[in-house]
Amino acid sequence: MLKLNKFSLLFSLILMLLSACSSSEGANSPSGAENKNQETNQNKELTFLSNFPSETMDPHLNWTPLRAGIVETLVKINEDLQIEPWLATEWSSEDGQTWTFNIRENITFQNGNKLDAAAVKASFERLIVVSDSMKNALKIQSMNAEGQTLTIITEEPLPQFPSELVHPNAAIIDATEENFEQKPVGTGPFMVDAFEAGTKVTLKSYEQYWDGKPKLNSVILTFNDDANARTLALQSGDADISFRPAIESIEMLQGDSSIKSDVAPSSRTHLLMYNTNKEALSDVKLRKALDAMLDRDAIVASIMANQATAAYGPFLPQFPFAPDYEKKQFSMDLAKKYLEEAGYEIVNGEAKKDGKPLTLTVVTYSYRPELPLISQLLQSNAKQLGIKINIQVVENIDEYLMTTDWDLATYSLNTAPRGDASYFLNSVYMPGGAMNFSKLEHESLKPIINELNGTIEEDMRIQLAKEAVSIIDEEYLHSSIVYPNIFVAHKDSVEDWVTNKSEFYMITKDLGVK
Amino acid sequence: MIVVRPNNVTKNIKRPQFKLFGMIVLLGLIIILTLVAPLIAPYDPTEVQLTERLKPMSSENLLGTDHMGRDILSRILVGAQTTVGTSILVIVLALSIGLPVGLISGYIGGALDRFFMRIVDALLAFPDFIIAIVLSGLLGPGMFNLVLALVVVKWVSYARLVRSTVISENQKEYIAVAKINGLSSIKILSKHMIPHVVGNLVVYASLDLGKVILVIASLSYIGLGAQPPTPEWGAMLNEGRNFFHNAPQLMYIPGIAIMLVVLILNLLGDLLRDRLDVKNK
Repeated sequence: MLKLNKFSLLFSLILMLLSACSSSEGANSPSGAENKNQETNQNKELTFLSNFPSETMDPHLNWTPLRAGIVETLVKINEDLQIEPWLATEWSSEDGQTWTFNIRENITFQNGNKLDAAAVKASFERLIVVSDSMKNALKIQSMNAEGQTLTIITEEPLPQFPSELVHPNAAIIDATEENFEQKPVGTGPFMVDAFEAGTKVTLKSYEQYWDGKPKLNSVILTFNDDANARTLALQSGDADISFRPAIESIEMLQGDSSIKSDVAPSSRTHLLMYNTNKEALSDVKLRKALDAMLDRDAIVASIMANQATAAYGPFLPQFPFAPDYEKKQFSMDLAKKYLEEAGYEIVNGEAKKDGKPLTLTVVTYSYRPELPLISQLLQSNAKQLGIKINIQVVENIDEYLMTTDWDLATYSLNTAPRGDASYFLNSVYMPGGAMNFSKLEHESLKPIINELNGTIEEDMRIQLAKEAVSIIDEEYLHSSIVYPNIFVAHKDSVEDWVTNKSEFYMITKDLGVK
Repeated sequence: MIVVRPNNVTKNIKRPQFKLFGMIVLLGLIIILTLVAPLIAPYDPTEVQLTERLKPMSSENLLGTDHMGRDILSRILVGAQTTVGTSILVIVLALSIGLPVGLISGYIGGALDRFFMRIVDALLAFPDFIIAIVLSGLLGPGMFNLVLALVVVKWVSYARLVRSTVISENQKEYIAVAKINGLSSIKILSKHMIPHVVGNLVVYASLDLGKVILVIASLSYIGLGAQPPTPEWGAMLNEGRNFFHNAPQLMYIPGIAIMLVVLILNLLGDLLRDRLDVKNK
């Protein structure tokens, strides 16, 4: 009797579960879709799910306002990775130090105030007060506003100055407003309706936008740092656009006819960094050996699910300042040869030099899930040659590398975010650079970068940048591994989504829904 | 006269002793498998072979391969050393702190007892898991720190358990007789107290072992425990998470492994309690 009771209880429980499933599938999804359609007919709304949470809406400190189309910059970078006019119509400089910008006419901020040179000046003045890194990048000495003409004098010749203004933090806001953290006022097609820090931003359209009326009425930007959650939100209908869903789900999403996926190469590069201050790694032959162990093609095909291109240098080859990279071969024999040239002997499965076994630690972080996997591949290959590599997964990679003594690190950075080589070279290879984690001062590289910083003429700059990259390449100061693609998936009802290579522009006036 | 009828045979098998025996055999099997794992694992559990990734179950790879082309069976076997082995280590360490503290605290009493018990109270006031997360978060991820964090959390309940048994035994007449006869405290503790405590401790430890396995797997799942590429069941679950659409075996195999071991330990703990617990006799 007792048994029967248990059984019947279990049976009824299963029945209940089943009925709960079927009713939700049967009733909810079609009517839900209808509701959504009716809604979108009157009110064109779109939900954009991304991986970058925003703690503030202050455009001078956070990138989201530019990405969300709230604010705009004087200069923008186009799909060919060239800079082009945006809020400024043209600019010029004789000496690279005194810059004249013509501000576009007939633009109003979202509060109705007119955009003129004085407003731009006020915006920059606030920017360099709140952001030290922008202050250091722009090096503005003085500004003079006259009607629609803004003259900026920099502390030293800064040939890349217009490209520095592409930076999302250099966005123009109405500095006479307050509450920048919640509701900044810009010139873009959308303005903030409501903002919950770290959770979501609701945008409404700005009907008087200077470049034409936005197609959407409102946009909701939400954040989730879990790639699988971003995939699932798209499938369940919680999101219309999912930025960087799980790379492993690409095949599944491509098989779903109601979902379109869009892939674009990015100007980002995944790198293996070497701390050349370390005794072992100061030897270029060891660095060459490690480079030869990087199976770039296999990384592209498996870890990156073909959503990447093998990288042999820091910049995408399409950039004018990228030299013809020498294609580096994956070869364990070659790695072994370099290792032996570096003075190591492989005894009993251990690579030893002067009797000491070689042990290295690679620092990695899981924000980009492929980096720990690349580290594991390197670890496994190094093991074959008797090199012991430990993996350390850390949370805050920048802080860790700056403050700790490290050997190797996997890192990912946008090497040419503004279509100019000087950002990467200065921040990674110059003393005081934000990503010069090994505090390297290279004797032959430093003067070239210095010369680049003082050179205005474009061809000469390209020449110098190529020279610098060639030195980095010859000396294996880092190993470029892959250029990852930007992978975006959206419902087929979304119209005119453009996956931007620079990752700067996402919500635009042209974006719409059926 | 007792007539042996056939259905008595089946009754006998259902007796706790037989179940207990079965469970002990299963646990023994797991421990043996754990100990010899590196010898019987068909492949190197950390060897990456990207051409062999995400293979389904086959005769070459009985449980398939993971996203780095590593043999899942080998990883489960060697991973048992990390998961089960570390859990046993945690329990042993927790016991070796909790037992003496409980004995001394319960037997001597007074200020020393109050001192230890306030520490125990303070630690028991928080959920285990939260303290373990905070500690391993502060100390940094890694197995050593994880063990340290868990021992800090776990010893208190053993101390409590031992202390209460010692206090209740201490009031009994035979202890008084032993004291009158001039038996030293050490002798009383080792001859009379420990045998009384052991039963409870074994029951508690076997139930607790299951919990510790779950905590270790959970902490590794959130990245605070085993670091890649160390095979560990919770970490394997975490790594498999990204592939659950295409290769669900990456998640359900370590999941089943955790479930089986914890289930066996819990059943064993229950049966041991039925047999050893004084209250149920």
